[in-house]
Amino acid sequence: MSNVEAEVADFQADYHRLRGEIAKVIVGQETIVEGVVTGLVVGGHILLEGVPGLGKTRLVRALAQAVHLKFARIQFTPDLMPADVVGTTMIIADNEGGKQFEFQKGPIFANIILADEVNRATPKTQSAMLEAMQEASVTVGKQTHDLSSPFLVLATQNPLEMEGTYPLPEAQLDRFLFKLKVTFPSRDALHTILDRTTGYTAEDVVPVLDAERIVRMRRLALDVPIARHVQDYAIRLVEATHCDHPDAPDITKKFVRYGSSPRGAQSLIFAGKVQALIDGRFNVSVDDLKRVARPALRHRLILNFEGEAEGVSSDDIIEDILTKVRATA
Amino acid sequence: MTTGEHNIQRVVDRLGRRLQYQAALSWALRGTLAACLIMGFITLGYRLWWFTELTVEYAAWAGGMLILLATALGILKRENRIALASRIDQANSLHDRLATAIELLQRDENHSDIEQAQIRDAVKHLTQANVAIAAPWTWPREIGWVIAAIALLFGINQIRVSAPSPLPPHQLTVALSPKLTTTTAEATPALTPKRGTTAEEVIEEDAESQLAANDAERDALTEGDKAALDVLNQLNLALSELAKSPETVDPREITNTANAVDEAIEQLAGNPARQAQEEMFEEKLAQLAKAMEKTAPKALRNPTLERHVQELAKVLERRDYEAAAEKLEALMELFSKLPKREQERLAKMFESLGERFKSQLQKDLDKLRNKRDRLRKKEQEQGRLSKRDRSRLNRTEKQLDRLERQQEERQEPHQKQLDRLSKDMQDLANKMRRQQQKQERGQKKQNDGPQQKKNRLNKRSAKELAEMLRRMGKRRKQRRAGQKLKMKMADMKELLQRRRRSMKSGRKRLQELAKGRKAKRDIQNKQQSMNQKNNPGEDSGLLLRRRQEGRQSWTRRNNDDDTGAGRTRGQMLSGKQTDLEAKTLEDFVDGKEGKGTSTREILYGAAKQGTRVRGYGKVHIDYSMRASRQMEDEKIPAGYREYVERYFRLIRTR
Repeated sequence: MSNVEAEVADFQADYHRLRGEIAKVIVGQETIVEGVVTGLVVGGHILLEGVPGLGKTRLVRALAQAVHLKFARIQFTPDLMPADVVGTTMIIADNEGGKQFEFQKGPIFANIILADEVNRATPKTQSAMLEAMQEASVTVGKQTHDLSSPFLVLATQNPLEMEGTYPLPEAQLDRFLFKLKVTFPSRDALHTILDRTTGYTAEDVVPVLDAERIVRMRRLALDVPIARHVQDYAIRLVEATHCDHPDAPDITKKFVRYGSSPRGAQSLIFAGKVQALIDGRFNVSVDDLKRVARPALRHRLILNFEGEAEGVSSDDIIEDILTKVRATA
Repeated sequence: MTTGEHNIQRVVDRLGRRLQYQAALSWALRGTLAACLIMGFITLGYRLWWFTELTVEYAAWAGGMLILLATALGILKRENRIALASRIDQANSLHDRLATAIELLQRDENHSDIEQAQIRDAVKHLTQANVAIAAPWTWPREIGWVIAAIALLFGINQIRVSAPSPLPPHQLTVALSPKLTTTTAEATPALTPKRGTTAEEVIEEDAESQLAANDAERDALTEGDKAALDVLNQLNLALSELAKSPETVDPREITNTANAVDEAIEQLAGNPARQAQEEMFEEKLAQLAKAMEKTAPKALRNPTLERHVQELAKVLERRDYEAAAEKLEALMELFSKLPKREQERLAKMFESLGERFKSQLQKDLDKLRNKRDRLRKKEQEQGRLSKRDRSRLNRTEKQLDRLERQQEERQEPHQKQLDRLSKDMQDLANKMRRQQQKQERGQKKQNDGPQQKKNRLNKRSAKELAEMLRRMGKRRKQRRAGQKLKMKMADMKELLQRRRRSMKSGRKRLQELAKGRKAKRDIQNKQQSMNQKNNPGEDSGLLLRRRQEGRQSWTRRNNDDDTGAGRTRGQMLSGKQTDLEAKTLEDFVDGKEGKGTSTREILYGAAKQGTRVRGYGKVHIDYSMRASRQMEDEKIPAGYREYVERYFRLIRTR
């Protein structure tokens, strides 16, 4: 076995170990866990959407414990200010009795950030995260501070209780790799959850990966080759989300106001590469792209009034696009 | 490149070949379908006298070429290797391993470790690649169409249309022709405005004499024509009775007679197809005459000969064929007296005219005959033919035989006649030439015997042509007589119908008149009773006196030659012009008994028509879209826009 084959095998093994650790705390939700781990590997931020009590925050905490990274949680509220997130310059007394301004880092200076109920904060505070999410750096005053790698934002939002919330602007939504919808667990999963959480003992999550390993895994993932026709498929998928594109299916033309940006295609390819490695392959396939298309594109489609009135969801449109767009041009 | 990498390409190429074969078959079937359709059309034309057998032969060759071309086109269609590899990947769940490997192999650059690993992975999974699954063998969908087209072609090939046999001259028209000359002449006034009366008179006089004449002619007629003649007699009788006493004729009888006349007219019209053929031939002959008239001055250069030919052309153009036959005979008489050069010119003219009106089939036949004669002559000269010439002779004879049969079976009669005419004209020209040669030789030998023989030959050819023209003239006369009879019968029928209509309208007028008198009597009685009621003391004698006075004054006015026209007026139903209230007429409309529409139902119906019900969802979409469009067009702060959008979100259907 050559080096690359061994590396891929290690990647698979590490991935499964990580999943195993998370599975100690989170029951079911395999798709969500897979999505979150994919985001961790390729450095893509994840938006988790689901009603309260489904374990979103717990999942993020479990992940932070399993990867042995610095974790910070920010509870977003309407009165949260940008300085509360990124940090602020304060007057600090030194040992000699003098006083000087010193930048105090905010909670964003961590590896894994849990932005809980991100849509409760004002747009001003939400925008404070824009630079951090895209550039992995924070600018305060005239000084730019780099964030440590890996840097991953896991934001949660509640689809109910729309009163007093500030929906995330399109620009910010576009910065998330995936939007994962956390669904209600099955009956068996609920049994397991109750068994685990209502007893005295609880299983501890053991760190299995460190930052260095995650960075190596990311490099390997980005090296995975992709054939031209597979890449072309990703592009055609994105094009099909645009209502003004001639090849767009009818459902897009009828219900979509704005389609996915090129970041959507990038997300598809990044996630496809991770999927290929998880599967033990050395190339991205069309099937990989199909598997990640829903979480990668659903938050990038903006429906028109007609679509909203008809109750059409982004997932329905993506589903239709996947059936209409052929694998080969 | 390693063996494994070669193997990947070999597998992909195998799929490419498989797809090429399938495409070739599919295209070949498409070509076959097109060829079948073309062949079907050509065969149909061939069966229905449009195309010759040679055309069918060429079409068959073209069809074959089409199939070959289509097959070649199918073979030339090739997909690129990556697309083929992708197809194998999809069919065998290889997750684009082969396609990625092929693409990496096609790149010239050095492969990274992971790319090399990918190629190795593809080679490892090559055992799972099954080409048959990627391109399973299926019957092309065109096969059904091809089978249908072949069946259609077979069906078309089974069509047998027999040529209409030349019919003998119409016996009825011959039998009636002497009688028709008088009948037609007398029926002519019937076409004038006073046709009804005149025709009646003519018919009355003619009916009995015609019946007597018909008895003698009946025996010469066919059964069908006898029936037609009976109808004619019946019609004559009916008309004569009608002319004498129209009230005794039953209208139903007139209707029946009219129907029978219709049938008789149909029968007398004869075979329309044959008539059309004859007319077409006559048209061609007229064209020939025109051509003759045009070419004669240039071709002949002899005023006497030219005059004869021009006269022949004119009578031919007039379609006076009997005169044409006489002219032709006279021309032939003149021919023997002409000098050699002029004889040659006349012969040439006839030959070129004959050639011009020859059909394609006849031309083909002549070509083949010449070829055959040449080969036979060669055989006679050399004793035997080479193998190649022998096969050519056999083939020519076969083709000739087939074309002759085709000419016999399928050629249209008018074209046959035209070919025959053309052949006669060319024969005549040949014979003229031979006669000249013999004349020359005879002059040398000072021998008169052959000269007489030549004249005989010449006269015989001319006689054949003249006979044909006479036959045509006779047939034309018969046809025209038949048409006249048909017109005459149609006139009679129209007369009957008019008579019937007038009888009907007369009866109606009588009924109306009777009704009017009764109504007048009723009014008078009523008035009388009313007067008695109003003036009980006044006796009926006074009334009578007043009425007489009134009548006398009216008579006085009439005697003064004063009708009152222009000065008096009738009853003004609309009242005086200035009196608005009087501008009305009282009228009563009786209601109909039965169940009518109630007021409630009317109101309900109107309400139903006047209102529309539309789903809230659709209305909501319309309104919200209108609002959205408006917001896009105008500058509205984002905050307000959000409020509007939220409002529509809140009121949407759930």
